Amino acid sequence: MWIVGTALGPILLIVHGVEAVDLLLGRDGATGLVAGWGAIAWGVLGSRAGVRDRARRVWRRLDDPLARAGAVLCLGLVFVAVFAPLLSIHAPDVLGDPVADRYAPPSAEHWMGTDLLGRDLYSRVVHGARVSLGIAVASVVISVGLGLGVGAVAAWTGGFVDGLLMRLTDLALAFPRLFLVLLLVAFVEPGPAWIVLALGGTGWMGIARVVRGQVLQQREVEYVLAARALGLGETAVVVRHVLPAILPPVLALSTLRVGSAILAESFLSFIGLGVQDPWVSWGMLIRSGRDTLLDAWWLALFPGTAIVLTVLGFNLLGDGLRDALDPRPAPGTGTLDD
Amino acid sequence: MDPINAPDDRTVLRVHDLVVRLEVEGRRAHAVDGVDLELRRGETLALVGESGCGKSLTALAVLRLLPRPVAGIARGRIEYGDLDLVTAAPAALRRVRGGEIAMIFQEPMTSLNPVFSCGEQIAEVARLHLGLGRRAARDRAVGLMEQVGIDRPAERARQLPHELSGGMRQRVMIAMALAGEPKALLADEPTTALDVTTQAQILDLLDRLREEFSLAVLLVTHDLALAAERAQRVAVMYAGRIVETGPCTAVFAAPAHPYTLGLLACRPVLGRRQESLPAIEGQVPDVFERPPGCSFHPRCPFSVERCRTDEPGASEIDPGHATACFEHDAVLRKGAWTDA
Amino acid sequence: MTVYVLRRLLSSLLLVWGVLTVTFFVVDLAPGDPVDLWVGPETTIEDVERLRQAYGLDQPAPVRYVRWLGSVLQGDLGISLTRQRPVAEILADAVPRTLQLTIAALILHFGVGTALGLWWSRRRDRFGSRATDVVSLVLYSLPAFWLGLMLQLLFSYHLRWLPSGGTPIAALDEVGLGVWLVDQVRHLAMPVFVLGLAGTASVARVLRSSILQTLQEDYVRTARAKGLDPGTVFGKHAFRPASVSLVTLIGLGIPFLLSGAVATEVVFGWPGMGRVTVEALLARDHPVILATTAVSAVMVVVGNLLADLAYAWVDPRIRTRT
Repeated sequence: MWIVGTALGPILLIVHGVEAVDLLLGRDGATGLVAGWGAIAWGVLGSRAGVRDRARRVWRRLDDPLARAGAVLCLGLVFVAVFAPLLSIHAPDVLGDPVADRYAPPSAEHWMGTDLLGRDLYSRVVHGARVSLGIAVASVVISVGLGLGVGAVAAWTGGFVDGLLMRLTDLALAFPRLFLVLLLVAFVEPGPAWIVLALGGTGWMGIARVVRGQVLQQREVEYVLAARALGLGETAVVVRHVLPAILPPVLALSTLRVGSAILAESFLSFIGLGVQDPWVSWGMLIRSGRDTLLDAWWLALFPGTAIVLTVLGFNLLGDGLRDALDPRPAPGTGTLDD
Repeated sequence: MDPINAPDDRTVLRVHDLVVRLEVEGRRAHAVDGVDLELRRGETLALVGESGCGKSLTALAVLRLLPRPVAGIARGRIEYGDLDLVTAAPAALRRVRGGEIAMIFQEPMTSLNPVFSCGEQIAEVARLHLGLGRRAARDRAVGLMEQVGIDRPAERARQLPHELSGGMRQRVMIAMALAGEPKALLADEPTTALDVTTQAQILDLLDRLREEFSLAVLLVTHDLALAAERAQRVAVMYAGRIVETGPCTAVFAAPAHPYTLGLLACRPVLGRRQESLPAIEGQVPDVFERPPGCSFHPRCPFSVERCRTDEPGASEIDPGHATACFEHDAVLRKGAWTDA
Repeated sequence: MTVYVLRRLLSSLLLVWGVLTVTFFVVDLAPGDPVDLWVGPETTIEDVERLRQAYGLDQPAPVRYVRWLGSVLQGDLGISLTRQRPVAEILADAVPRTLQLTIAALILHFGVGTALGLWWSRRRDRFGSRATDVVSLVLYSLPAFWLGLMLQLLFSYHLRWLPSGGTPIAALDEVGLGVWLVDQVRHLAMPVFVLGLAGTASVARVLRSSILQTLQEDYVRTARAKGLDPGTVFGKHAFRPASVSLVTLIGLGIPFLLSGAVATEVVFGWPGMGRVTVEALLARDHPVILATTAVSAVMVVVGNLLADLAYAWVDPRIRTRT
């Protein structure tokens, strides 16, 4: 089983034959470089027993089949995103014959059909995974950073600072997220960087609240009091004892937030305020498919399905993580009628 | 054969060889391992034991209220009238619950529904088991609340559980239990969560009601003194089994089982000087790791070779007083816990 | 209870003020000059200056802020740069449209969602329970705008059952009630469905989780001990306490509904606040952007306030304690 998983990367590399050399030498650009060497690294890592054991242990923790399915989906998508150049058949911007190839429905040659300019949709979707996923993950990293900061400081300091930070959080929460994001994005140069910032800057509130709650709890826990009694500096206590304890729920929450970040970014791109040419994102692909919905339905269907699968994967995983961490009530099989 | 629990025309409920299986994370055990009990009209039977001995599970099992799927009745008969509650159909069981046998629980705060008024929770029983209409049931509820000693009952009936004190909530529970005119009452540690003064009041109340309505009461408790004070008969439970049963006077004056002897001996006595308090060595065994033979033998100063391998059955010492110990003669003779 | 209401009212007002302030400064600090929109090859510098003055754009930020705040409180939200109409008028048309969708979606949430949640918690078989779990998560993972497109493809273009967008056309005084109703339903069906889907799944999940937890409580055991039948135990003793958690969902759901309305309105051409906002954003129409963002945030605050009050009223514990 693991042999298959491990060899996947190198196999892809080999499949490309001669082109693989180009990729590895960086002749096809930075992304190709990363993908090529990444495939090799993947193979190397997978062959090490130590790595496999740790993976197995983590896997065992997630005992819900749905959560596992989610994890598989997520991993699969990350795989696709990282190794996009290896997985796509044509480069995403290769123009096909303007007459013969445009708006071709899905076929053996073009798995997902082509668009107006004869570009292969499958390859574009695969490359879109990098952008969509990349933006979403980056924005969640920012949100988590902000949320941790605000929540931890608020809970640890208490008093006036706590009140102030919480009022600020309430204020930020009063805006429907999309409105705020649109507001932030509409007035700047379109581009992934701003999108990441806008999404990151509007998604930290929920995390901050959770972190604050957890830190408040942890403050009173005995080992923390003990550590403080021993004279450990405040920051040391927070970092070494409190943070590890609050990490699991934050992890679960951030997985869920990746899903909503993907949805948000795709909408932005759909209305034209998100990712622009030459970058490709799923939302953007749907946008170009909108006008020809009736004739070239595949242009909107496939990118959308990709979004659904991705978000579903993250939601399943996030849900599973959250359930694995909270003490769950025994599943409701207790009968009421006996 | 069950010598101590020979049927009596006052018998209301009989439990035969009740076994409750416990299953947690793949491990299984018999939390209650062959228990016999008998409840008689107008009499309180105290079921005494330390935590973990299975006494609460026994009480819950009577009305089939065990927390599924963790626990379940593995075998046994629970005879009430001509019904065997273990195998009774759900509809019949529901008629018995509340209407024939009622139960009150340890934590009145969590055992009462927080979103319904006290009066409503009592009236609902009356509507169900006595077929009363809304108005009549409400009146009965108020009346019952007065009977159990709640002042300003009409006002209290409209209030929610969290607005009442602990003692009052327990009274509400009792009123709720009585609303269906039951013949038996199962009380699972009814006063453990209350302060001492309230405890006495509630127990007085229970005594009074028992006499007034000729109730058969099962009083589950860990407090030996309470049992001695408030019950007429006592059943001592250890590690899932009843080790001694009999009238309180007999059992406490002359215990016939080492465990009972130990429990009594280890209590500080007011007015008596003691150098050090004797204690029963060792600890109560974990449910899943009970020793073979007599489960008490590792801690028992009277144990002999036989105790390690054979399970002692109940043997009658005097009419109505039985014990499950091979060495009961020695115990009765010695009458003291400390090593001679 | 009154103290609680007053306190909440006060903090809501403060929040509204905060919202207005933040909105103003974010829009104001945005790069780009709204005047650029009107600059054509023949515009002279004097013209530009005059336009600036006319719209009050030549004053420093704090001054503009105070003036804006003042006019907002008087109900004057400025003039739309692109449409040359008072913003208040534009919103007066658009907001009710959005509310139409939002309220219909809420009804969907709490009608269908509750029924689904109840049904789901009663399911004993693992397969049914699992399947519902997956389905509800899938519904939750759909991008609203894409779902809208797919539904349009199916129902409007292929099957031709439903109009692809727009508001109901028939006027009640011209056609019979039946025709009017059908027209309403046909136009509302897809937008409301798309808007309400995620929330319905959410409600069902939360309710189920809440009920399952409640079923573990001691008081449910007491209800069984009283001899009540399973239906009453579940429907009365377990559901009532569990349903309290649903009220909080209303408060949480409002911002999501407003965000979702944007996507839905854009795809279905529904002339509500969301679509107005997007058009204004693409056209850099500052006064409109300002107004819609502020209004939506105010709606969220008001919605939360109402939800909190409803919660306090529904949960008897809070009602009697504060």
